[in-house]
Amino acid sequence: MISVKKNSKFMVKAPISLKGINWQASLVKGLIFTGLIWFIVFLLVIPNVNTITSVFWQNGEFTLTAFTRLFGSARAVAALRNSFILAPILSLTVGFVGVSLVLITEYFKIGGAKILRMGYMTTLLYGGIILVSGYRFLYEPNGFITNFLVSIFPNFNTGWFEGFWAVLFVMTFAATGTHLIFIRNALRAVDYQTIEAARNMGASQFTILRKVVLPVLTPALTVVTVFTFLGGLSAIAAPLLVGGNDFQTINPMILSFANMAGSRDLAALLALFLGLASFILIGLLSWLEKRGHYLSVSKVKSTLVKQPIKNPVLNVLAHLYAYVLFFIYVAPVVVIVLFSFSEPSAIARRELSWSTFTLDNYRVVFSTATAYGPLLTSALYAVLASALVGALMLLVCRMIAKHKGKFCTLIEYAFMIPWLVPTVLIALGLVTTFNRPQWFMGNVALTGTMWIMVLGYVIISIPFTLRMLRAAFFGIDNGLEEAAKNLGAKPFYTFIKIVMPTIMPSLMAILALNFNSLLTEFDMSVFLFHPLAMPLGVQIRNLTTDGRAGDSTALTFVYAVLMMLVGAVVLYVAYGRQEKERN
Amino acid sequence: MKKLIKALSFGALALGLAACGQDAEADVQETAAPAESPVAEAPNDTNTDSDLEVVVLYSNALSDGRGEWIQEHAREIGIDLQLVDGGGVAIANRILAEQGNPMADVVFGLNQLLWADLIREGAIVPYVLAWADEIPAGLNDANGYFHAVALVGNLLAFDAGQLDASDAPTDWLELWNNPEFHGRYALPNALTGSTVQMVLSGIFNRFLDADGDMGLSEEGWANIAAMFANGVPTDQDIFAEIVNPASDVVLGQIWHMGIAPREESFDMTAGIVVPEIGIPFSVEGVALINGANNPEGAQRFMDWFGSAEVINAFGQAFDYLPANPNALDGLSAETIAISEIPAQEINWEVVADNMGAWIERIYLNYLQ
Repeated sequence: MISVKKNSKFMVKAPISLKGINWQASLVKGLIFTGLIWFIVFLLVIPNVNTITSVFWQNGEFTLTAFTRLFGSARAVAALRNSFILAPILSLTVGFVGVSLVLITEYFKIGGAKILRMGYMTTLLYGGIILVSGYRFLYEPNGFITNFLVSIFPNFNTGWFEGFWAVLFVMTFAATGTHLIFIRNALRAVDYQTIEAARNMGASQFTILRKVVLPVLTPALTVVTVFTFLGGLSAIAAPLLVGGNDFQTINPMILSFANMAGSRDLAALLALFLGLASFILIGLLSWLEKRGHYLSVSKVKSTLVKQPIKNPVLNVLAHLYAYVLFFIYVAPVVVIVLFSFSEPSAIARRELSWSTFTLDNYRVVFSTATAYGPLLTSALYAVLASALVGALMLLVCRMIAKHKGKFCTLIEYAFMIPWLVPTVLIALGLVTTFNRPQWFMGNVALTGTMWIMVLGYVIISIPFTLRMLRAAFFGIDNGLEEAAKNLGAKPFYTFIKIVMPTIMPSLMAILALNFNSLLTEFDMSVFLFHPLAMPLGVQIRNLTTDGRAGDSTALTFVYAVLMMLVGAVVLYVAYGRQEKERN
Repeated sequence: MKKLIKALSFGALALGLAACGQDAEADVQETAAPAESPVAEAPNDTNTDSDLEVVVLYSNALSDGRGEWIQEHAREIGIDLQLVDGGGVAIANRILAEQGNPMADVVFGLNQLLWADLIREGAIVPYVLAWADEIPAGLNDANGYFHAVALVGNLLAFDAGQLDASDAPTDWLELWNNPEFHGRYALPNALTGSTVQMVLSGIFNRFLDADGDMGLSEEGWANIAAMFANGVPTDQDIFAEIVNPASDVVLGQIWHMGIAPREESFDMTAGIVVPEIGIPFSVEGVALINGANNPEGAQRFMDWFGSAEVINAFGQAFDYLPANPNALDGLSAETIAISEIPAQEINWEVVADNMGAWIERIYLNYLQ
């Protein structure tokens, strides 16, 4: 119905075009719209609505005991409050540190910028429990840095690294990875001639930064800030490990409840809270985005020249800041790598020495011969899912960029549904909806096939892909596109020659990041994987938790190190090399 | 470069779609032949594959080589076993979610609480096994839904180097009722694991009170509150927490098979606490999935796997404690010692029915 309406609008708007082409274009457009609506209704809405209503609809009647149970709990209320305290503050600290990293490595002339950048980018390669463990080894009561500080200041409080500040510290540095890619991509679009012009007119370095550079970064910064905010709301590892008694957040509870049949309504309710908050935030930012787009994006490509910091004191301070941050970023990685070569008892006792060095951990991992099967399986699934989600979101972004109507806004919001629902519940929704043939899926029962996990992976990758791609679309030069059109280029040709080159760096980075996170995905995989194709995330979890006879911390670190290597290679191939070619 | 990337991604896409397309139409049994599924890890590419019948086994008891052992030996009776390996809760949840179109034929492992869930939801069906009569009373399900294969003891252990056995507590309740032990015992900060749920079952069971709040007496809830208020929550391995010099923790829960490997890897000696009331034993069993694709194969597998001879060999290979008293020959002295600890009597019907709600209440109110 709606697609027909769109078509007629199109007809009215472009009456001059040849009728044949017009009809064809409308048909294609109609098919695309229908396809998107089908995807949204049957793959995003129905499975999740099923899950959510089933939790509020028990024993044949609607029940809201979830509310009373939840708000009767001081612990849950405090955790919810903490999550809402953490998210906005984290957005500020991450924004500050993230932008400063990009300026250090890309804008200002700082010695050793390349090395610094590699150090800062380590957070793109690991995360979660592993990352927080790395920090904890350094800053906990008998951590390496705490011990060092105590040796200088004997009265130093060894319990300093616990609670809100510890969580904020760890998460601030953990969340800046995406800045280094997406803010950097945006910085490339800054018009260097405007900077020079401003300088010639006597503007100070600070004024140029504020008035010329930062406005160009705003769209990308907005999007990564949304992600930081959501990351703060859904924090798990950092509060669990270093939050202590006083600073627990809500997501560990959501995760536990989502896995307990009788408590799923609580998980759904809590997730809805977080989801609604996210939607309000996204709505607000979209509104801001629409209000102001006065970018001085470079039309004549003159490459940005790195700016020396003129004030000598500031220059020294900037270098100091850059290298202190470098140390903060790299130290946990070093500790994790070293401990992956240590005996378990040495890890538990926090001893690093030659005498406890061992290759056994690696031997165990590599001798579990099935190790390659799951890696291959996951790699294939991850490639497939990130390619599909990339293509799908490219289509959606293109559509949103071309047609700015209420309908497109609705579609855009609908694709954010996977943010509203915890991954475990999305997986449950898919399994229970598709475990019988459904007419809208061509009468095929998807559960138990190899398809369903591709679908699940695509679904959980949508929000990140969509938001990041949309930000990249803001960098497209509409003037060029118009020009191409006027010169008679067909839309597809224009898309390939004008649009793709602009968004390529971001697109490749998004694909690589999606690939890396899907490679070890667990929460969804464990419900959807095919018996003949165990994915890596499930295998790692099986080898490293419960049910295993021995302690598995060392093995966890080995896997973390191996995944860092894989992640680094993927990122380099997809993003780094391309960058090199550009330079 | 761009062309290369494009070519690569289209190639992968096509390959993946081809792989998926084939499997989408075939059911689990038909995809058994490795040639048809490039995604799969070819299980055992011997030429006898076509003669084997496929049985899909879901289990949380396959780690440390147990899965491969069962798979290998099942081939001897003509079964190509396909394994789905995961944590107990994950396996049970997956079986429940797949009820409309079950993928599994047999489930192995779990514990009394998870068995109760599967029975309540109709996910498994009764089938009386050949060896059912050899199992001591009370371990098999009375209605034949599941049969006991092995027992896992859930213990309170301590570091004998840091705590003298004569100073150790004699029962769980002492940990929070005696200030000596406050801050000295670890509790996992996730309550979904099997060991912690069995330990909690043993504690809840002492305070059952049909008239009490949520079926527990006031004293019971006071004990639970004190348990979590005075313990140290940890996300690490509990023995790792115990040997960490910065931590005061010296006691914690452990499943019996976990003791020996940890003593070795942490270079320590563990003591165990044997309460007068006994310890909660998890019953790892086997059961037939409701709507299994291959019920005959599943039954043949269960009759074979749980037989005294096979389970004894399995027990010897992995220090596993068979539930069948005829299968204890040649087991290690430690395993035999565990089998001699009295089992705490637990009213599983009541405990399993309420466990979810109790755990939720702990999460909402008592967990630190």
